[in-house]
Amino acid sequence: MDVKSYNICVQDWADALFRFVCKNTGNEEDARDIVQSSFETLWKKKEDVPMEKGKAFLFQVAYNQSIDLYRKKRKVHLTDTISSPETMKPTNPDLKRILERALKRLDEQARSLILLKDYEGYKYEEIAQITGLSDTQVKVYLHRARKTMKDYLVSVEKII
Amino acid sequence: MITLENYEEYLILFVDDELSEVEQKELAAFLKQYPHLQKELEDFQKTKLPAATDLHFADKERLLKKEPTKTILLTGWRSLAAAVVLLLIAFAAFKWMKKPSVNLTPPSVEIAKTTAPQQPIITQEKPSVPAETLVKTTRKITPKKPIAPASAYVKHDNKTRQPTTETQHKETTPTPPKTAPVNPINTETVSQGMPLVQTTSEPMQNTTAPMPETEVAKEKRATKKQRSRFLANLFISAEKRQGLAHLRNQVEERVATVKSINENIKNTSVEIKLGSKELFVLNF
Repeated sequence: MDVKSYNICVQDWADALFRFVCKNTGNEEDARDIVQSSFETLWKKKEDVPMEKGKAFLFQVAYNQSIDLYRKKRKVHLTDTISSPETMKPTNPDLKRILERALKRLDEQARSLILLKDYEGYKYEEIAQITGLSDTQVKVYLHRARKTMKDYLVSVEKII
Repeated sequence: MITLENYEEYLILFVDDELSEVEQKELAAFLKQYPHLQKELEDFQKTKLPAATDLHFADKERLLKKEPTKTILLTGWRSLAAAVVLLLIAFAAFKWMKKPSVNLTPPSVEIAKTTAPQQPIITQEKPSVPAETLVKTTRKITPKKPIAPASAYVKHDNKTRQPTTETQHKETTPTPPKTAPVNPINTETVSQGMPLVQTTSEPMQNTTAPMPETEVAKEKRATKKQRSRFLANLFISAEKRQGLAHLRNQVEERVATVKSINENIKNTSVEIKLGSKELFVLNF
């Protein structure tokens, strides 16, 4: 791709990439750094990346850097549990917040798959290309992630 | 085929939009058969994240890259053609800038005597006339015309005027063929710096009478033809061309006059000036 195509990628995908990495890492500053790094990588390899594969390339780079960051920092994703009475108040049933908590309960890889699926609408094959997994692995990991989140939501509803 | 052992997988595939139309119809039929599983489908649908539009990456401009400036390298005949075009443009611009203004001081021709011997003044037939008067009777100037008729200013050591020259001027001054009528010069115009046919030649001119009118006219016609072709090829307007022709004729007349009296005047030079700027000098 040329300079013009690169700039189009910046305009089209910078926000989406930032949202993906932000939800994945849970930290806006880390997400900003990863986004900048991803675009720099695309710039360096722009001759090898066609325009139509720019988005997938960016998300792939951002996904790998998110995983690397997670392994480096070794974050604990279970920030709260279902039994915590302080956060789970029947008078405050906020599905969005519950979903965010359910998302945080997932590991880095499962969370990335859910985000790529729900935020960006990628198919299993596209997610496989971005993450470097096979189609079957993507299907199985997503299945497990959905089930985990569903069980968490059901348990919260029971408490509420 | 959907069974009670694998229905959960189909529910998740349905939530992920990975089922084909046929498979969706099969799932719908299966759920009709087992309606209590509809709740489970709804629970899986709640795990789908809503679109997040509240997060934006600030300072996208920092990510943008500038397109490199294009440099077009001309080689061979292209560079030569480009150079020729640039020269033509520069030449046209130079010509346009050189276009004289309406108040341009017409050129003046001065015939100066550097070391002329003193000669007795014969003033019988040619009383000295002030330059302004001479000019007045012989010249017509249109202030607004870009090129006024050429004028010759004959200057000698003594400042007596030459009536004969005046006569010559009067008789031989060519009228611009097509330009607007030349207004007579009066003292006012002269004082404003207009031309100056102020012949202040010496006394002895009486003895060396100028060429007869017919000869001068013939000479003029002959040279006119020769020079008209040259002028016609000049890259200037017709008006300027006529003015130049007139100026040329005036210079030739002065030179002829000087030549005719060359025997009695030594070391005579003719200076051609444009305003105050000296163009060239003819030495005799």
